[in-house]
Order: sequence, then C-alpha cells, then structure tokens
Amino acid sequence: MFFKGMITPFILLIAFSVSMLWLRRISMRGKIFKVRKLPAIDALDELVGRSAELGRPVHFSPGAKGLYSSDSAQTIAGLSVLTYLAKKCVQQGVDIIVTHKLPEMIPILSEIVKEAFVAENKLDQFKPNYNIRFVSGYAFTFELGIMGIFYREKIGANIMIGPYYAGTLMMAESAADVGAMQIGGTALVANLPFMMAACDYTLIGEEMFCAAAYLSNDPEQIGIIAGQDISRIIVVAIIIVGLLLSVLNITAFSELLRM
Amino acid sequence: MNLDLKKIAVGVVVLTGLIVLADYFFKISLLQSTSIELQRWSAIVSAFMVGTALINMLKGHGGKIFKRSEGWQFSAVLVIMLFTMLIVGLLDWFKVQALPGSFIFGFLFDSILTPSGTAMTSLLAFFIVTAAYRSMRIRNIDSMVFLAVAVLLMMMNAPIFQVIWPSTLSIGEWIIEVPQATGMRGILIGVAIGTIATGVRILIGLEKFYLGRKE
Repeated sequence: MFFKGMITPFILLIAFSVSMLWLRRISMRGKIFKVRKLPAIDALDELVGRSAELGRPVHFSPGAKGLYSSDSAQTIAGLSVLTYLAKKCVQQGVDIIVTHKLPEMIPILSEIVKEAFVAENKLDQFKPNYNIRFVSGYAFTFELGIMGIFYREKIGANIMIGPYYAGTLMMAESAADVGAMQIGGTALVANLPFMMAACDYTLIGEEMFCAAAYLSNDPEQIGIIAGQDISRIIVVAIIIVGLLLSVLNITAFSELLRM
Repeated sequence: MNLDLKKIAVGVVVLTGLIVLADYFFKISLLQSTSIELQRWSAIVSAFMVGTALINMLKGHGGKIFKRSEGWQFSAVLVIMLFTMLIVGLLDWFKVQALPGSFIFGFLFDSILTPSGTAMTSLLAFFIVTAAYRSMRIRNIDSMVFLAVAVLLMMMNAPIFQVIWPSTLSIGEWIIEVPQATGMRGILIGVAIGTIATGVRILIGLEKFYLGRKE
C-alpha cells in the first residue's frame, strides 16, 4: 500500500501534524504561548515609516516561485507579510510596488493589495498597473527589471521574503545603492548568506513561517508555532537516539527510519 | 439555494491537497491518476494566467508610451519585442513554411536573450565584492567571526596560500564540513517543519489568502 521508504515519513508527518493541532487547541482554550522577538518583522513598521518620511515607495516581492512548487510554503509566508505590509503602506499613504516573476501570481497579489485599500476605504488610490507588476518570467530579466524599478522609482524600502535564487544579491545590492532599508527572508540556504550580507534585517529559514502568527497574534496560529517546537524536539530526539545507537553499532533503529 | 462559495473553495483546496499528499505516500492507482489529473488542471489554470500578466504589462507600459512618460522609449522596445516574439512563436506553431519561424525564434533566444542573461550573471561578481565589503566591516563580534571565516576560506581557495600555509586546506574543509554543514542542516530541519506547518494551516483552512477580498 505504501511506497518503499514512505512508512516512517508518513508516521512522522502524522505525529508533527497532531502535535501542531493539539497545541493549537490548547492555545485556543486560553493558554498563552510566548513567541520570541523577530527583529526583522518588528522592523516592517520602521521601514514603512521611513519611506513615508522620505516620500518614496516600498517594494515587495514574495520570491521567484509560485504556489506550484516545492518552495510554495515560502511564497505563502511572503504573502502573509504582504497582507500586513500593504495595510501599513495604505494607512500611512506610502506607495507600494509589488513585483513577481510568475504571471499566475499577479491576480493573487493584486487581490491582497486591493483588499488593503478596500479596508482603509481608499480604493480610488489603488493603481493596479503601478502597484502590481509582472516583470518577466525569465530569471535574470526579472532581476534586471526589479533593479530598474529600484533606480527609477528611488524606493525607500525593499522587502524580499520568499524563495530567492542567484539574483538575490544583485537586487539587494541595487536597493542598498539607492539607500533603501531592507528586510530579506528565504529558506534556501545557498542564498541566505547573500541576504545576511546585503539586507539590514534577515528572516532565517523557519522564522519566515512564523511571520503570519507573529503579525496577527492569532492564538490558533501561535498554537501551531508551538506545535512546530514539539516537532523539532521529536526530530532532535531521533537524531540523538540514532547517534547513540549507531555508536553502539545497533542498526535496527536506522533500518526502522528507512521503512 | 444560497451557496457559500468561499466554503466551497476551501473544500476544494482541502480535498485537492489531501489527494496530492496521499498520492505521495500510497501506491493506489486511482489516487495516482486523480493526482496527475489535478496537477494537469493546475498547470492549465497557470497557463491562462499568462494572458492576465500580458494585459498587466501592456497596460503599464502602454500607458507610459501614450503619455510619453520618462523612459517611454524603453517601454516601446519592450512592447515591440513582446509582439515580435509572439508573432514569431505563432508562425512556428502554425508551421508557416514561407517564413522560417523556428529559426528566427531560436535566433532571438540564442543570440539576444541568452547572451543578455549571461551578461547579467557576470555582474554578480561585482555585486559580491560590494556586498562583501559592506558586510565585512567589523562592527561587532559576529562580523569579526564572519570576516575571519571568509578570509580563511578565501585563503583555502587561493593556491598560493596552500603553498605558504598548507593547513589552510584542512582548516577550510573543516569549516565547510563541520560548523557550516551543522548550521545548514539545523536550518533545513526548521524549514521542513515550517513547511509542514504551512501545509497543516492550509488543510485546516487557517490560510485563506487564495480566497481574495473579504466582501
């Protein structure tokens, strides 16, 4: 019934999911879980405020992948940040420019930004072709297009949260060149050092996935974050047990994991 | 009958997600065929969105051209190239023998687009230098460690240092294989669990960004 080697991953997936749903339930019943400070997320307000003072637009892009890839969870994390960011920009009268590489993302991004304008009763200020831009589906053309936007529009802040690839550094350095403050975030370890080097604040890996819960302070979401910690403890326990047993030359456990 | 369209949409997402997920674990032919069909539909819907993006681009750049806004010439080049590629691609698709569509299409790709992309990639080296300069200025302990590690790894990759100080190779390899790999794996475990959490949020209907505006 199972594909070869899929029994243990399935059991682990169920265990992680149950721990997340269980802690979500506890959180909804009133238990308060503490989420540690995320300076990169706290800085969002600072970036919007600074752009308002300078009279410059804010640029946001949720990465170079859509909702149809293995990195889609990162894109979703970026969209959670966009929901908050768009609202803040509209409240403070700051222009927001959202770009993407994939055409299928344009309607989704458009709806998220439009919702922020509707919520603040400023729909007349929403400019679809200015606020939401499809740049190019070709990787380096996309990055070049974004760099052009940075220089032409003299952006005040650049937020890049999602799956980013080789062109990360070119975009981040161009934004730094025009004096924009930056928040970067990706779970792709090969590009994280670029973000760390070029951005003022960086969301490292899993921090991205906490953004929605952190910004909304919603007990349901925070419960799931607490569940992630339980899952992490399970993984660390498996690593320690596996290490000890392999030192003792007992292979049964590693064979069990390969089931 | 008063249908709640948003609830139906969430239901469709949850059901689709469960079928595709189950297909990853279980060897059931019905599941496999359904999953493949659903993924095919998803690709078709994505393809339709290219039209939406095209309209978005034409509206933005067309507006600039008609208003003669600053840099309108670049927008004109973009629109001309867009239609050139479209027409040449269509000629190729319809197999118009009189015009060598595939040759022109190939030429535009191989002789214009690919070299432009390669030229862009070459810029990366300069951006790495400026980023390295900015991040390696010693401001605190972290940046000091960063600088020390970066210098050691640069020494490892420069053959002259392997002659002057042969230990650079073993130190560099140790940095890559032990602290760097450990940190990277820690991040990857966190990312994997975060991805599962995102999946759980979608499957229980907590993440509803795809539903659009709250009317």
